[in-house]
Amino acid sequence: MSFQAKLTSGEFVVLAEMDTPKGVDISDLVTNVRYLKSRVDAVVIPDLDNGVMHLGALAGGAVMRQQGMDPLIHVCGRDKNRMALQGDLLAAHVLGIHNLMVVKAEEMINGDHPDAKTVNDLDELGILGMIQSLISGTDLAGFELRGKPQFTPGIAVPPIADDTQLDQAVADARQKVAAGACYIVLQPVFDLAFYTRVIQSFTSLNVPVIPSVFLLKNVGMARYISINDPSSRLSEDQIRRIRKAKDRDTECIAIAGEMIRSLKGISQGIKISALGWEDRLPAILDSAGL
Amino acid sequence: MQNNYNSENILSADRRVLVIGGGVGGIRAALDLAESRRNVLLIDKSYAIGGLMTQLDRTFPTNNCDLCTVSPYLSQGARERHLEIKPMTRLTRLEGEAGAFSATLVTEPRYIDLEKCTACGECAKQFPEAVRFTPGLDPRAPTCMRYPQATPFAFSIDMSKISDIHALKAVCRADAILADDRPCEAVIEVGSVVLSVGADLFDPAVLDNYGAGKFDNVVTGLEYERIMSASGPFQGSLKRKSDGRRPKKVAWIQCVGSRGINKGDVPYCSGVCCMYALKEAMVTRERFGEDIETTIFFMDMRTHGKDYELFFNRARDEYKIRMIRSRPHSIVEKTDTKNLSITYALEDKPVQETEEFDMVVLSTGFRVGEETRHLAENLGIDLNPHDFAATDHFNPVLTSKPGVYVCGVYESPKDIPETMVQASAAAAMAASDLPVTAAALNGEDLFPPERDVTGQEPKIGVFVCDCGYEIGGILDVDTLLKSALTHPDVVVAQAVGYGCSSESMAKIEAMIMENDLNRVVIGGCSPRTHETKFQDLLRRVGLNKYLVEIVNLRDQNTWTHMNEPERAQTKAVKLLGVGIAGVRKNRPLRDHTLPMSQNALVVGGGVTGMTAALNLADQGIKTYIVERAPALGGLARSLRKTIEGDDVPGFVQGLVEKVTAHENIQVLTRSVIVDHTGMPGLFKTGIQTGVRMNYMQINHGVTILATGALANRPAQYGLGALNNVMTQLDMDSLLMDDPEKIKAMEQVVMIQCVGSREEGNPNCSRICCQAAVKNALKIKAISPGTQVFVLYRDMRTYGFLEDYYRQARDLGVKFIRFSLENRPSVKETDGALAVRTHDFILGSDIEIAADCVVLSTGLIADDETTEDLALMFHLPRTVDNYFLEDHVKLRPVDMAQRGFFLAGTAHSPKVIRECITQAQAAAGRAQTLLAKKEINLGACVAKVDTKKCASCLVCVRACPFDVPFINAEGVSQIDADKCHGCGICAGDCPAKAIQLLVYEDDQILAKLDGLFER
Repeated sequence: MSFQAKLTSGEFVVLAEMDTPKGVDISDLVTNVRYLKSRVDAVVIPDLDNGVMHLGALAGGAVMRQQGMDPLIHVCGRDKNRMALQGDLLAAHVLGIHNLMVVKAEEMINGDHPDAKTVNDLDELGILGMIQSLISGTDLAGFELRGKPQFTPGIAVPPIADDTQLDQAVADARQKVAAGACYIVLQPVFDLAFYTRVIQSFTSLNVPVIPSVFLLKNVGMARYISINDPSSRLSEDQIRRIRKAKDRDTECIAIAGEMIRSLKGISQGIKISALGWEDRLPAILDSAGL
Repeated sequence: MQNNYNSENILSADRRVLVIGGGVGGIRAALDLAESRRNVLLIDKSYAIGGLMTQLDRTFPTNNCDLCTVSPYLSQGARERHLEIKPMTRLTRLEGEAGAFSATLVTEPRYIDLEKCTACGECAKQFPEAVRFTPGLDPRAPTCMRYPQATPFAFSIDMSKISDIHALKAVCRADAILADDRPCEAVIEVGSVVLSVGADLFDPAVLDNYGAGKFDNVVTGLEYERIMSASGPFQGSLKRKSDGRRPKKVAWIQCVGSRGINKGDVPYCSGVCCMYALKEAMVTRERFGEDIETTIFFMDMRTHGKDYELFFNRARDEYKIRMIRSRPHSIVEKTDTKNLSITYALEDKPVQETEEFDMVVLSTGFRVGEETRHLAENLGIDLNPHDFAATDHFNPVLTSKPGVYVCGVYESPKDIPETMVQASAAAAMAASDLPVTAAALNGEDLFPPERDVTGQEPKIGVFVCDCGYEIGGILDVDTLLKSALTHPDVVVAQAVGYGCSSESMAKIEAMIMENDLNRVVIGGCSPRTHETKFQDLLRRVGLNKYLVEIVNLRDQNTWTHMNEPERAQTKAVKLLGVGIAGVRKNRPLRDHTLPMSQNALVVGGGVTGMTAALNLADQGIKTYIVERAPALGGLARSLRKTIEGDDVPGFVQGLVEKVTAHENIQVLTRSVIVDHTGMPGLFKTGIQTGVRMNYMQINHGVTILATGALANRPAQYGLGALNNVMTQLDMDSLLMDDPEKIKAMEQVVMIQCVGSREEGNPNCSRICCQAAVKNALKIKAISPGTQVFVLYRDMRTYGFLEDYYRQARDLGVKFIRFSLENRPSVKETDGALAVRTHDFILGSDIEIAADCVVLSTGLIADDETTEDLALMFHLPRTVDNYFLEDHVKLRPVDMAQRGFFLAGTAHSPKVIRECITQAQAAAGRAQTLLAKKEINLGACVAKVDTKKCASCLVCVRACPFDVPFINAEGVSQIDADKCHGCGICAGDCPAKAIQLLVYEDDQILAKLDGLFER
């Protein structure tokens, strides 16, 4: 069953995130995706994610198709105006890429080309509206399309640190669902108790809610997140757990696996990010019993 | 490196770095420069290099013997092809400017031809007074050949003591005596100069109260080293000079001639004497008997180096060395026993004590000698008030004259590890003044093309060294040679004296050419030390270097069976047979190489990391700085002034700007390292970077660890709980930001060693004594009326920092000692702070009201980070979680894992200028590795015979490095560039399809045949 079909039938979906290379050597991408066949429902390909120049998501999605994997690509308005966005989305359909995630892009200044010009012609709501327009067979200038594309658009919710932010995020998401978002992807979960409430709040929107799980790689990375991103709610206990482990690599995978198991009961899907360690995605799935 | 080098490079290829002084510092600097492909001339006024260290018995803190650790450096010196050594040579004039100096050098006559002298010792036997030699670096040299590794390996003649030159010439079989040798002057082109002249040791005979030079049993620290040394005057037994008896009670007196105000004293601290006295006392009890009572009289115990506090604790607690805090008044010799009675005062007793000792060691420190003052004049460099080289505050290897660098004790008193660090730093700076030699750019192939010997019948030459007495004195070499000739294929068998001398090497080369030999056996010493040398010899005559076999007739035969010459002879015949049978099966092999990545990774973007990165980047090396904070700067960002009064934020800002603008530096802030693979020269490190933690990988050849340490903030004495209790860092800021607040203070109390030198963090933080003195001086400058009290355990203002300590006392800063058992306490009553402490001089507790309590909290290792990195990089750490370098004495910036270098406070606590020096040293050491351009994997790798391979997977499972795999052809494949050459697969392969090159089955079997079938 496809990602889209599972979403509509209310089945649990598994997404794995894979970045395209900075360059044109796609051998790792191809190798890694082979191990995920029939284990995940779609592979998420970010587009110039984190403001870092990469191989574009369209090509990444096409490679997934070639490998028999359903792709899901990011769409954002930072780098492209509505012309380019529409053109690329039509191209996506033709290449067999139908799953979209509308995201708020990282600011250019935080990326590796800080001097690049930011476009921001359309915001996320604008993009969702544009997608609906294309699906209905019209472009944003009102011209009729020759052949209608098919898309399943979703949205990513920004980090939520506390209840105030939660209320705001739900309100924002409600608007986006009204604008056509079919599913909601949440940020990486480190604090299960808090996120249980977060997930419940989003469930009221009546679209599938998909929290993310992030593979911590070592103590340094965990510490970095806990210091620099308080909204992560990564606890001292988790850092201690990695430090005390005999085999830290395995422990990190186990932590991700446990989190997936816990989230499975309370959400309609999961997105797994290994951030460059995509070769360990199968091990995380094993650990999660997926 | 680019190949289109211009004419300027070629012209300047002859220009070199002049290193003055052949002690360990000079040798290190010269080797670093040579390894990074710069031409170097090392001069020393003495007739052999080695300096002071070679006279020591053992070195702290490991208490190892020195000669074994330093000798490889000395002999290495002779091997490097970019390095020339000129002993007995002085600089008399330096003209021109950095990059284009011309130096006038004068070499004294040696009266010995270095090319010919084999150090056989005949001349020394006949003319002992006139011949100088330092094997084992001992005055008894001519009869003692235990450590014959002096460089140059040759004698020198004192011609003033020779009456009959013909008689002398007659005894020399090598015809090496040059009767007409004259001093010669040469002018050479020099790009830069490294000064590593060290200092003299103070001669305490000028003091009238300790009896040095008058009383037989009063010796200096260095004399005591010689007495204890196995190569010393008493052959390693501890004896009194007066009667040859073993002393039962030995005392050390510290700071003799140092930290004083009397005639003959210098005001500064010599920095090393506390440690050497502790070492000598420990070694005394360890080697010469637990019954010897050892006592050290000291003022402040200065064990501020890395792990030195642990060493001090061990000396006191395990070795039970008695420590008396006092500077003795005088020593009186008992006329009958020649024992010595020391008079001293204790701080808590009104009357003087007197105690008798068998022997007294005076811990004397460093002085700049007259000769060095002349040299400084000739060089035109400025001196500091103590006549040491004046240097840049932020860059201690820079003298006042551009292009002239200084390292070691002549910069300031320091121990060996710090000298080694500075030597590498000075070398790195000096290297930047002149380009890499043209030969290095050319790929530097000095050897002729190899002859193809495949299919040729073996023609074996056997050459046996007599190594003077070492082999020739026990074996009958002629008979041995006759036995060699009975083997088939042996064409020549010759005795070659010292086979490794340049003359003998030339003879062997000639014989190989004349007889068209294609295999060589050397019967001599250990292949461990000499194989490379003979392999190079083969390459010079166009033979593959794997066509030589070294037979160890010395270390494994004549040395071990010295008393059984006949059986040694039989064994020698057998061993030579093994070599001859083995060499017959040797094949020409090619070493596998990989191109080395010319990138560097610097972990940590503080002052240390930035300094290292700039040095590397300036040399054309692409450098990545990985820093976890959002901005560069590190701990120095929280510092305002140095003790010298320099502006730290301005300096840091300057560095940040240079680093950010440098085209060869890529700065990655907000970045953490998450994985690491590869080998030295070809590392790949994964990092998460940026706020969104993007993953990227960096390829690099070397890694510099500059991760720093953390400012300690222990919850002691009310820190964090009471108002106006702060750290020295807080005070440093307050002094800059709010001087009015300081003026309003009547009394300030500082407490030292907070969170250091105690359980949990046993080491000394090194920086806090100078920080306290710095801030106390600043308080006095802003508000002379403010009373400052410093409660301390030992004031550790080492080297010239002592000047500031004295200045603070002169300005009325009160220093009150406390002990760990009697710690001060801080209390707050109605918002007023008071500090209670014991005053040893008053003998009672006192209470000091304080407007402000300043805690000297020092540094603590970043345990979590160093542990994380240590796991990923496979690096060792110290017990208190700093990174642990390869050799605490001689390799203080190299990690044991090749390709990793260590600098700054990740190594141990240190002040900014010391961090900067170590950063330059690390960058310099990294460049010596990168200069090789290629990774030589050797020829010793496993090779699969695909016809025999049954794909049984045994090798795949056996390999500890996961190298073999079954390839597309369905057979095992072992990539040469990954194989470690351990041979496990070759041993396990059931089909014998795998051979380990260099150690193939037929070669091993041939050797066994050679051993058993005759």
